[in-house]
Amino acid sequence: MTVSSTSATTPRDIAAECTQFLFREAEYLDHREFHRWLECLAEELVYVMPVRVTRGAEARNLEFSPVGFHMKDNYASMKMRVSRLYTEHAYAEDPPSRTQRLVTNVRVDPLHADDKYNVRSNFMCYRAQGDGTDSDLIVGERFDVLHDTTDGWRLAARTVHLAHTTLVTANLGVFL
Amino acid sequence: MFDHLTEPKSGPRIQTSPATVELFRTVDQELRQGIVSPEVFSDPELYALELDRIFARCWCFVAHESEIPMPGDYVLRYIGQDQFIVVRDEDCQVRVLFNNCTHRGSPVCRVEKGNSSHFRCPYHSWLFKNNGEWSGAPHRKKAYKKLDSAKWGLASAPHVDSVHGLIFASLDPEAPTLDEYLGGMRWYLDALLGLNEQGMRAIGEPHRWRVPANWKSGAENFMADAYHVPSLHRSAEEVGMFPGIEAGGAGPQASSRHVYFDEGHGMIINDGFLPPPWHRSGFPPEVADTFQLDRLSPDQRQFVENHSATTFLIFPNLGLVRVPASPHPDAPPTVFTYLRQWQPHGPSTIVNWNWTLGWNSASEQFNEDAYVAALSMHGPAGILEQDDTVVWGGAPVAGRSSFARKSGMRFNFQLGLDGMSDYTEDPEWRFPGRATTTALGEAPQRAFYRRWLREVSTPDSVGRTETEQ
Repeated sequence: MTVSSTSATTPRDIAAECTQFLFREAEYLDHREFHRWLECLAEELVYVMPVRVTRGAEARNLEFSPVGFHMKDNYASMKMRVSRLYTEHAYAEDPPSRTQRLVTNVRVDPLHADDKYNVRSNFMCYRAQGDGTDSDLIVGERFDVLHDTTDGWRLAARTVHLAHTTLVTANLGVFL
Repeated sequence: MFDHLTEPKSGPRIQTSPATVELFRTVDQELRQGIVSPEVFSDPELYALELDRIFARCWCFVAHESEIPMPGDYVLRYIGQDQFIVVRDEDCQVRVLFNNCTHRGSPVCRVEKGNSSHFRCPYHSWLFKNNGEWSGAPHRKKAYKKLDSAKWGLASAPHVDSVHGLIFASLDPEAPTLDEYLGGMRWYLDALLGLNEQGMRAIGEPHRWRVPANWKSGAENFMADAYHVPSLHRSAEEVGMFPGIEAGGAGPQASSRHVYFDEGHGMIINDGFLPPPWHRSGFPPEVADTFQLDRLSPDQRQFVENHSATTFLIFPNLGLVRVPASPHPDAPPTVFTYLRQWQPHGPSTIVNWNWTLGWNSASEQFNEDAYVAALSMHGPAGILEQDDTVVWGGAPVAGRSSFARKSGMRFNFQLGLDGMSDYTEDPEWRFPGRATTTALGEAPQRAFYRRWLREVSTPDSVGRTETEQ
């Protein structure tokens, strides 16, 4: 994905560019433009979603499990997941989820590599299907590494910390 | 003053309404014809009876031993909808303690996983040892001069036992032993989980996710439903994740069969997933070479060298799935083992619990590859399993429908019944249980619902052979 080009004289606002990247990514997902979303991902993508467990004070650092994961994906597996959504038999998304992602609290910090940034954000993803009035509200925090490449920004790494221990949605058929 | 309201002391705690007794009669008669009323998946009274007569009676899986290896280690788990602390006490004995204080019922443990020598209730600080014994309370010498402390420990499951690392508990004081309960499934557990001395371990914490379904739909699916695989999971073949998906089904191209027991346990068996050098047990040589098959009986060894199980069900709600998987189409196949539990949360909701098991004898790399591959195909984000979560919700909806009830709608379980399909009992099968010639049938599911009916229609206070019919 490209963001609006910056002129040589104007200093870049990296935080704004990262925020725009996250907003645009959410738009692609909400609009089911999964091929365009895939283009946002770096080929070295590391995507994990640890299992959350209620722990005592002595083990709060283990609340997000270091060894248990709901998802542990890379670019190739995400590409597979996207290609499935374009088949006629991805029944979990038939009818497709109506999602609305709200991405907020964006925080940007430089990494040692000068073209990569730590980008943290909070999200709420509303999910509903069909004509029912039931809906899921999936909530969490994301710890991303965004890569400022010559082709535009790419998501190089993402760790999703869900607000949920037991998932409140029937499947992780939507990308977070 | 309430004498006129009391039930007879020997009578059942939960009364069964005439309508439910009638439903039992209907289900009993109709199961012979391979049909089942949708109300079985939705009726609130039936659900209350299931909690009382199935989950509070049968041996239910609660944890893997590797989750609580040290004295004091505990996890919070459920039997039915009741929460228990599954804890290894100071003498290394596993206890299954009801997580409600005997003083006012407050939860004494509010952490899902940890290590503790005692559990202290926050309300009045009643204190319990990790074996459940009452251990004290504030101002004990002045406040509880005559308390019989032996009576006021945490309520605990009367029976706890384990097999190949799987910890089960039964809440019924009169329960048979775990071995008796498992019957012929015990033989197969040796052949699936007891393949070497090092055994298996749970990797990471279990997945938990809420799904709109009746718990029985998950149970019968894992028990025997090969028929749905090429239909519901077709997308897995289309994206290159499950080449030749028909072979994993129940049609003419499939090599699967059923093995099941009248006790409601059962499984899908095949003759090895992948060609040599993969072992017929379903594992690649690097893992299969660590198996110590001389631990098994000659018959069990014969089974392991020729067959593997894709899925199984241990009544009422413990499943296993062991199938090849890869994280994406270009990756080589590996094989994983999941333990699955459908925890009831009302008639039309379950919480799926899912444990990944790895071989202690296998390399870290193998177990990691299997873990990652499994996530792509099964579990909450798995491309196959995502689809299961959207089809099971229909049965309770039909069960609540006035039209379904008035029109006499029934679900069809006639596959393989009385020559309906290419499916018969295999007289050549020399191992425990009833085996079938193919998987193109629903005999195991019918056995499951028959066991279900036996349990749910039998009050605690009468012999297990009598029912309310």
